[in-house]
Amino acid sequence: MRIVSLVEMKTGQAGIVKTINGGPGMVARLQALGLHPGKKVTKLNSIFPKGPVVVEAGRSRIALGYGRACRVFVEINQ
Amino acid sequence: MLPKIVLVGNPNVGKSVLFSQLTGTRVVISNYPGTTVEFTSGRLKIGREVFELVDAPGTYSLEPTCRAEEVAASLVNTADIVVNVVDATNLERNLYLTSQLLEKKVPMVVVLNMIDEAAQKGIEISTSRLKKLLGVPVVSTVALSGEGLKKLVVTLPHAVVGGNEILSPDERWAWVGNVVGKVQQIIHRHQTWLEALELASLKPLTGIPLAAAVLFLSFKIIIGLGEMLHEGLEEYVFEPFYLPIVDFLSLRLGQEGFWHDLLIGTLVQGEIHLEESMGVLTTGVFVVFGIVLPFLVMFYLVLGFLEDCGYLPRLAVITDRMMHRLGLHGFAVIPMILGFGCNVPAVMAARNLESRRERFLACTLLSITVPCAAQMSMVFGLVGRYGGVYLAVIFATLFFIWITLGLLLDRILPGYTPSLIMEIPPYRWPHLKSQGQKLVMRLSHFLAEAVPFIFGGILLINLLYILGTTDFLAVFFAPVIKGLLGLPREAVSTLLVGFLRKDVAVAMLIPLDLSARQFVVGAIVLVTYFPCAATFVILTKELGLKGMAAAAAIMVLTSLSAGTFLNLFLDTVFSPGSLAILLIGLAIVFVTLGGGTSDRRENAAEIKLLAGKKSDF
Repeated sequence: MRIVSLVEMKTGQAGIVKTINGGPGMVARLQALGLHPGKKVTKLNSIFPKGPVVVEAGRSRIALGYGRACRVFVEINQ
Repeated sequence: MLPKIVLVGNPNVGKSVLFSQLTGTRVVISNYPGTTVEFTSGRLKIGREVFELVDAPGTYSLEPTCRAEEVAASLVNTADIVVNVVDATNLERNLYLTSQLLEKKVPMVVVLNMIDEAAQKGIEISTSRLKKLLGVPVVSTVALSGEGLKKLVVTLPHAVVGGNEILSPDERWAWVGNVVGKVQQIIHRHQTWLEALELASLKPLTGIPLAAAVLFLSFKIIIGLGEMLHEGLEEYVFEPFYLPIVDFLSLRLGQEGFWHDLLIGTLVQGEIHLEESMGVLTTGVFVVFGIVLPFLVMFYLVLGFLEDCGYLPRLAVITDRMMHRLGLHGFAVIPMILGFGCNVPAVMAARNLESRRERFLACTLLSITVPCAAQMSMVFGLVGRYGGVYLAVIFATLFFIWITLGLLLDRILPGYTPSLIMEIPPYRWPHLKSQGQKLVMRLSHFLAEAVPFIFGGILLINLLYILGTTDFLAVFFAPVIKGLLGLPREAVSTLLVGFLRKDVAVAMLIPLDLSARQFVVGAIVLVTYFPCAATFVILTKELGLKGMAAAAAIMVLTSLSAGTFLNLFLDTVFSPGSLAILLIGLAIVFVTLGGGTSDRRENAAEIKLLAGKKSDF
């Protein structure tokens, strides 16, 4: 068990969202899109170093800019 | 006051389709989040009762995070009946909003839309169980084909108040998880090729070539087919059928005089010239129907396809990195692309950007550097006489301004742009009927908006000319126009008309007998110096008077410097080809070395945040 940010996750890896380190606006927005603590997410890919990260949460695909992806932490099995 | 039914749901779940099916009103339907910003309303008759039906902007939550969502949340508070449209292919995420709506204690019906697509994806949902768990009627529909709509209409009067207690977000998700577990079954299926393409378009190795190919093809189709259509119309419609009519009219009017000048314009070497005569019935009609419309049809055909299949959000992901360096993020690519059609809907789409800073940046950049289809089709039509390489100069200059201005503004404007959070919809096959409807709607918008302004612009210019005002202005502005830009003094009337319509203004460059350099300078100045009247109105609404004044100052400055630069260097120091390459190269160097102010500020804010201080983002 290890806690990493979405940026550090590897493509194809899955994990459980632990904490979202952001202001209320960002947390509410992700919350409403289905990315909330306790949710299982799979990283689909990241575009370029420092580019956006795309994750799959349930049946939704969500793109997060690099700055924000750095602040979403997930627990992975490793 | 009619009783009000409000359609509420996540973005991109088919509310607008449902709305147009129920009311017969056309609304724009697209496969990307955030098409409806302001709401549309129409009437719906059930039995003998008439209701007002409102299509609210899509929202993920009733705790708003942007303008569109604010509008949606406030509409819910005024509703007599709420119709919650739910995407059956993504029940879980959609039910979060449902749970918030149930807490509102307003009579409600849940519509389970796109039930056909869900079935294709192997998702089975039990409507009866869902109905029992939610405590409100549930109707499954396929809004595009009209399936289930009759049932929805008869169910509406039976809307009831659901019974949810007010929950915290975590409790809501727990409730959603519980409901989904009880009503939904997923049969595993193999990946379809469309789904494989979905992944490919998001990966850099395949995504970037794909994006380049898509943009190149779109451009080719618009220019190639638009040109064909334009030439066809001119050869087979305007010359054999329309020209004799205006010729006849011209003879009847005696080939001169006030009315002749106004309607037909001036004769070029004793003959009517559809492009150059500058009368309402000659240039006015020909610019609208003969030149602009053919390109506009092609542009909106291509755009409609890209929108409905769901490609644009992927383009936003691919371009996010570059847009970040300009203090924007990937989503801002969508208003930019819309702007190549018309700047008005583009400014409206920019409202969906999160912060005021981003909206100002996006709106200013877009109104300065993105020429609309009407303007562009005129430039394409005219630049041919000088050689296509000058077109490259025009585009390279605009690209250069876009990048440098973006970098500068990002540095000057205080604060930072928070990075992207965006849902990426699945690819869908565009629906032919709604594509057709959308095209017709957009073209009629164009005609309704453009025709009065084009005719008005030509009238104004002819009147000013007759009154002698043009001469006065020409003398007054000569130092700028002649001195800095190297254009003939008469070009002042072109700039005047540009305030109303850019396409006619470009057409007015023809009789001036410009050199290639002058034409390029004129085109660049016309694109950048000020938005057309329609864009100006919407931009002022968006930025406020102060913001608009700031934007206008930026526009005039940019325009004069770009015009002066080109006047000094094009064809004198640099050949058009090398100038185009130089400008693009410089822009790329600038963006690689100079960008990212907003990113650094976001990082600093993040460190502050982690240190426990409060921040807004």
